[in-house]
Amino acid sequence: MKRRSNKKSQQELRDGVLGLGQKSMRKSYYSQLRRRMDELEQYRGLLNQARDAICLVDMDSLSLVDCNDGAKKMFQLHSDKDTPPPTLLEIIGENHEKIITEWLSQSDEAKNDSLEIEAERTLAGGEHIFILLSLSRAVFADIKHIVCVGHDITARRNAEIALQNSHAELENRVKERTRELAHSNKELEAFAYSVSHDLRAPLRSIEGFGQILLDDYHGKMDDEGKQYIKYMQEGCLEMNALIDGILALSRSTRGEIHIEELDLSSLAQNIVQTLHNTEPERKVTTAIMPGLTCKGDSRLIKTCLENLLGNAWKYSSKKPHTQIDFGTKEEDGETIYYIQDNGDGFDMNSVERLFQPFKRLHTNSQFEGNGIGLATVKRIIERHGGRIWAKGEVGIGATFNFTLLAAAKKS
Amino acid sequence: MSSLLSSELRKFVAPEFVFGIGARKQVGQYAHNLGAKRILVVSDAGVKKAGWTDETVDILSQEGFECTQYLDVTPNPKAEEVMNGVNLYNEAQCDAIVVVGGGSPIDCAKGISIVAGNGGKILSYEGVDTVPFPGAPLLCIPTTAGTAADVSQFAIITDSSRRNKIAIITKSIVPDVSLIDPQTTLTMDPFLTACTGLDALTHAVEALVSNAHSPITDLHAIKAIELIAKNIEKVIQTPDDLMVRQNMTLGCLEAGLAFSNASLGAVHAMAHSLGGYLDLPHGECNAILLDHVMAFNFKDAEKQFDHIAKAMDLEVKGFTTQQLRTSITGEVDRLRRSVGVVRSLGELGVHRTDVGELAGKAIQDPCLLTNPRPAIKRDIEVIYEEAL
Ligand SMILES: [Fe+2]
Repeated sequence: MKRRSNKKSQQELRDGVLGLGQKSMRKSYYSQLRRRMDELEQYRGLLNQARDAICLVDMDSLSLVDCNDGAKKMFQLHSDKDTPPPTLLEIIGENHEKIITEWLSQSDEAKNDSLEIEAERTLAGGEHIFILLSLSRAVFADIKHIVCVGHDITARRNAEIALQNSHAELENRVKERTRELAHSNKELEAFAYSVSHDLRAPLRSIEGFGQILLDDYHGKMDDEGKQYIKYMQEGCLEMNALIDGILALSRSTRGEIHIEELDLSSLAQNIVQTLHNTEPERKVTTAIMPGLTCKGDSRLIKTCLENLLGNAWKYSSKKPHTQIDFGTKEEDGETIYYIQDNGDGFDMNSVERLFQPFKRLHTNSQFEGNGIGLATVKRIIERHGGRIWAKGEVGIGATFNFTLLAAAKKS
Repeated sequence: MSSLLSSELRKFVAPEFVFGIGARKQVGQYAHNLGAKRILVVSDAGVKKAGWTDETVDILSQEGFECTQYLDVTPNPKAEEVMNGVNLYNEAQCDAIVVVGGGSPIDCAKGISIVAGNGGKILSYEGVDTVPFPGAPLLCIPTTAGTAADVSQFAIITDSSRRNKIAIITKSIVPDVSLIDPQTTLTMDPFLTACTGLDALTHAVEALVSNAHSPITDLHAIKAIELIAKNIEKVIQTPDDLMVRQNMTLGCLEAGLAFSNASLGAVHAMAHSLGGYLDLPHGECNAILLDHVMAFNFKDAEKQFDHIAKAMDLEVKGFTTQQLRTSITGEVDRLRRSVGVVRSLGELGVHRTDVGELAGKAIQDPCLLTNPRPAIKRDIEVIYEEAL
């Protein structure tokens, strides 16, 4: 048995020597060639399935060597044996010549970089398409080529354009609304101003005629009547102060501001002096840092200081000895002005309401006021590019800090 | 002429070849036909010195081919020489091989072609019908009329780590084109001329008596014996006679066509073993062994030996079988001595103690498959001992 199989393998070997072995019987370049050609056909089939355009271009002449069906469709190429093949620039547009020439002349180490270009085409049917082209170098059969792959990005580009358009539209709408809002704000302010202004005349006649009643009809009224007229006059004064406040608030946001160099120290000194004069009996110590300056509108800044110093004066009236400080400090390279008092202070939980108009923290029986002053101050500070904030503690005192963008440094 | 003895199939494969003075100058045209651009030119130092390599490279360069020369090929080419050539072929991105030289560069080039087309290591292709795909295109310009490696299906590579020669036998490695130009044989020295001539005679004799011979191979083998017997002494006496050189070259080609298709026999099996074991020159080993093996084979191929006697122009009319055998082997022995191949195996350095191992390797050689008389190891040992 063993001998027989040995004999069989000897026979096989001998057949091989005589060229009758399986492998050498199979040897044929044609079958190899056929297989390779089938592979090539398969590759071409795959390339033609791609929707992208794939072009092979000779690097020296830039003329088209080969392309897939996708390229024929995208670039509307027609194979015609009589006409020379189109060049890359004819296909994608002559306007790309410069960038391609530059890319081709790049140094050796950059030669692996591919080049991306966006091109546009209007097809014969009138359809406008956007194409993202990616160019890379390749050597086939010792000849330098460019492989150019084109991807249709029309849908993406159209979406981008639509998005840009809607952005622009939105922006326009916002602008329009802002303009409308500014307009109605202005109208509102003008209204507030004229109302306040026009209210003064009738108010003055009420107050004036009240005084005439008291002076000329003194003997014809009983004491109760006189008392009523006094209440009426007090109401008139209160209303007058309210009108002043509304006018100040209105002024703080209207009209031009004139920036000039201001001597804050002496401005504050004058205001404090006036306050002393109104209540000479109070024991008040003021410490005003000398040489404080700023850049600002003199009228508005004065209003501002009047309010802040006035508040400090007013809300510390219940203390036997009042202390008011005005000065500056540097924090993070910024000049911060502060006005500090040892008055009744406020509850920090209510700090947000402090700068809102007509929102008072105290009742009239505690302290007189109309709740417009700090709102006005805030608007003035903000018009000067600064900000204002407050710290307080009930029964201990309050500190108002503010900055002015145009603030001059302490000399 | 004998008719086919059995119903066995016979196949005949030969490369396209151009024979004649100036044939080598067609190399440019044929390289174009192979679709080549970058060519590995395989040769060796001796052939380079004779000028044939540079002439070929010049022609190819003028035709616009890029040539890379590979000259590190020794007689009995080694596996690592093949692999180095493959690396060079791949590095230079070659697409064809042109070999200029004798049996060694051609066998090396065949090895490079196999690996370039199929990958792997050359030693893994040892044996018969082992190469699955066509190798790199191979164009031969033989410069020694003898081995006929340029038309044959044989490649012999030395595995130096095993001190062994491996044979790769397959029609896949028959070269694509051979440009056989007798002029290139003019630069061979007398001893090399004698050895290659006797190698060719061995090819013709072994193909003729092969148990796979056929009418077609017989035609070539008989013509080869005629040409070589008539011209081998003349070529030694008048080495510059181009007509004699042409006859010898034609004889070698005819022998090559015969043995490449009918295969060989015990002489080559035993010579391969000697070449691998002691790195002895192939042609000389064949020459020493030939008459001994002929004597051994005689009674199994008497009819074919008649053709040999006729081809050698021996007067054998009325001879007994015994007389015929002695006459033929005597003439073979006389021819070899006459052309200056006089040493015995013993004088080449083969010792009686080597015989066992030599025979052991020879018995494995595929050439033995077509020897007319089946031989066992002891038979081979006896032949070696006779030739010592
Ligand atoms: Fe040989």
